[in-house]
Amino acid sequence: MGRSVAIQPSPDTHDVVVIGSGAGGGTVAHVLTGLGVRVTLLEAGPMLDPMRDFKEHQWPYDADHRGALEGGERYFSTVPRTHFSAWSGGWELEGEPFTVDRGSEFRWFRSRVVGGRTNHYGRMSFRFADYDFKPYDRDGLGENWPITYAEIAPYYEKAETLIGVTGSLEGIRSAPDGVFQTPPSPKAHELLIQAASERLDIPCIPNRRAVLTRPLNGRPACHYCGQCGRGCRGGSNYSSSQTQIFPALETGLLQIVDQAMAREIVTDGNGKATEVIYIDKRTGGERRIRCRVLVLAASACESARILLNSKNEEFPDGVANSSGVVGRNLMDTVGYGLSARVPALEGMPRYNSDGAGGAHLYMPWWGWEQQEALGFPRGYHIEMGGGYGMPGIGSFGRVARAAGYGAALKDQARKEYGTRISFEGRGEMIPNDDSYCEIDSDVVDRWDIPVLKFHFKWSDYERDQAKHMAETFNALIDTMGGVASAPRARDASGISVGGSIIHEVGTVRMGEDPETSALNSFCQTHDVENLFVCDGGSFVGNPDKNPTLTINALAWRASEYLAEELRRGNL
Amino acid sequence: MADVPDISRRTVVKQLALALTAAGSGAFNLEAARVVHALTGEELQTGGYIPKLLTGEEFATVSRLAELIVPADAGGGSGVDAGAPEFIDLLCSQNDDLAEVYQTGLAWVDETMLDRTGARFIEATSDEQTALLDGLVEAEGRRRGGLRRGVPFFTWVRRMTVDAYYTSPIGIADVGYQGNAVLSEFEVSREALNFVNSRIGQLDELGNSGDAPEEDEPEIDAR
Repeated sequence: MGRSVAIQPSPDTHDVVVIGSGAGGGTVAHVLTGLGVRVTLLEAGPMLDPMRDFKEHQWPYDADHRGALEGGERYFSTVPRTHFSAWSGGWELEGEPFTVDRGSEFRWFRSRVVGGRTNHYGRMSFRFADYDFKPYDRDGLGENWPITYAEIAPYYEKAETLIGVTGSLEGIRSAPDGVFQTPPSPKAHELLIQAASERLDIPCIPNRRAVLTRPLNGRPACHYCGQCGRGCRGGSNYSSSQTQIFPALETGLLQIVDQAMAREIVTDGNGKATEVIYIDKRTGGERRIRCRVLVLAASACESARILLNSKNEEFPDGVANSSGVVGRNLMDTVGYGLSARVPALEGMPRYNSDGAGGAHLYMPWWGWEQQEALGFPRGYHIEMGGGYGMPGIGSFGRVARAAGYGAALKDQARKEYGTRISFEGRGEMIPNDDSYCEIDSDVVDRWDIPVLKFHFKWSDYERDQAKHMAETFNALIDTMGGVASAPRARDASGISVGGSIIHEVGTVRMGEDPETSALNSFCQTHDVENLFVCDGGSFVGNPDKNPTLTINALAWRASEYLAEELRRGNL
Repeated sequence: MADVPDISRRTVVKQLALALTAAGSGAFNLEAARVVHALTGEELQTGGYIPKLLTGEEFATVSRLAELIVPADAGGGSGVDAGAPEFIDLLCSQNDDLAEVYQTGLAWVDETMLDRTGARFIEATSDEQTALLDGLVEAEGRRRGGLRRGVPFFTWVRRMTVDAYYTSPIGIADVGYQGNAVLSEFEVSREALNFVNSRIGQLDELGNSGDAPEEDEPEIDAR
């Protein structure tokens, strides 16, 4: 692990150039090198060294700012960075702005490092349901995917078998079963939540997360420190860096060019991509790399940006954008959260509740047969939090305000510690015409690359769904005798800001019709046969299942197709 | 205090990290963790700290406030023991806005105490000091009142003292956090399991029909 070599590309033509090293790029690099194909990976950030970069096992007092960051930055920021998380970037990147249209709100989280956001993501790993691939057939909204559940299922299985996902066989249609490792047992507060959910007829089952509970492919099982978000030095959870890219380096078929900010794709006038122009961030200089096949996996919006910035005579609206859909159909996940104090948990004997770095239970969507009666078209699942977390900046802020100061404050902290629980709804957004990204013709980043401008609107479909989340969470909290925290707990005003759930997808969508889609079902662009897009950009819809596992599966399928086409001499 | 061994804290932390991630390390290196705790605790208690931004008097006043906000008791030490004044001074030295909050706020504290008692805060009696804090807590919930002007500063010094305490080894031990460990299996303790099962048995009595929500969200978690 932690190889620091960054090889400069030769002037030769590289077989497959991949832009981006997250879930999509990591999967492509792993699958292609496994099939004997040479891959050159461009990453806009630095090489990752888990031993050096991950802050696993650090205590807050190991930093003199205790996690508040220099100058107490966390106290002043509305979208705070965190000191301990394995981010390399975050909500704002210096010198790399984006703009948001007046009247819209949108956030864009970027992580510039080998592995990208998979180094710290939540590891929720849900298969889409069969009906998620044909949403238009169900209710006339959105578009159908050019792929069925049966076609993608073998690739879900391959992805799960490689990365390791915990779970249990449940036979719930909204949450198809997969290849699962034994899930960790529920935490104490989760047992109470599960009892409450049973009263409300909401299923509450073992969580499905990409965290090993048994060793797999040389990766050790979880040691239950609960700090997945900081990165796991041992690689017990899935990250594309440790699970796919480092092993791919071992094959000798993978080259990594780090600090390489892709700017533009060059085409040859005959429908083929021939070169990528990128900025070497170390020098600020422009470089070019020739390729036989090019795979974009820079993240849904960054890939759209590269395509839209690649305008030439052949593609006046951007490479592979004859349909005009590149940048359109931008979706995030609908988020609504509510936390509560549960007095029933007061006095519980303390235990180490860190666990596998996230909740051990979750609630899959239960209302897919009652959507019409519910008054909103698509579902959501419920994630949960609670337990005796490692104290950190802000952990006892509410206690302090409630208790004043002095001995009463300390007593209150002892009493309330571990009694807070939280629910996070994660729901499906339906694509709409008002949500998209485009090139902002007035703003460039520090390398003179034009930046993205975002437009984003929730519709009543999402607002009504968030309202239902609020009602459900309040019902759960009431069942436990809890006291909800949010001041406007009973309406949908707490719906998440677009982009803030970090599930942005859909901007280079796939489809059967080249006039209304950019990619075919193998993530190959309709316009440029040697150009693929293997990140969340390909998504046609954004079901309530977190997108990473489906990015893995689609990229795996695309890679096998790509390798076969190469073998046949079609690319 | 005991002499700190001739080994840098960074080295110990690094060794701990290595020990924790070494292949096959089944048992958690608790001793290594304890050494880190002890070293950190001792560093914080040297008493030889030279403030980076606050004047000696300002630092003394912040220290007294930290001691009042988080006093020592049977469950743990004080805000001062946890290094709150150093934490505040350090962050102020890195942030002009925060420095102004403290410089202006501490001046207000002294002026107000002078008006009330003829003495500055640090020289006032304990009763006079707690009377001022009681007044600030009372003013916190109101829109008016003579002490209202001091509330923003009070909330800053309380928030940062509380953060410093609960992010210190003694504060973490006080609430009884038992994690950040290396385990071979996850399990809920028998005692906790019995407790929660008895609560589940009481679910009929626990439920409410929807109390008024509390006034605010807890602050961000540091994970």
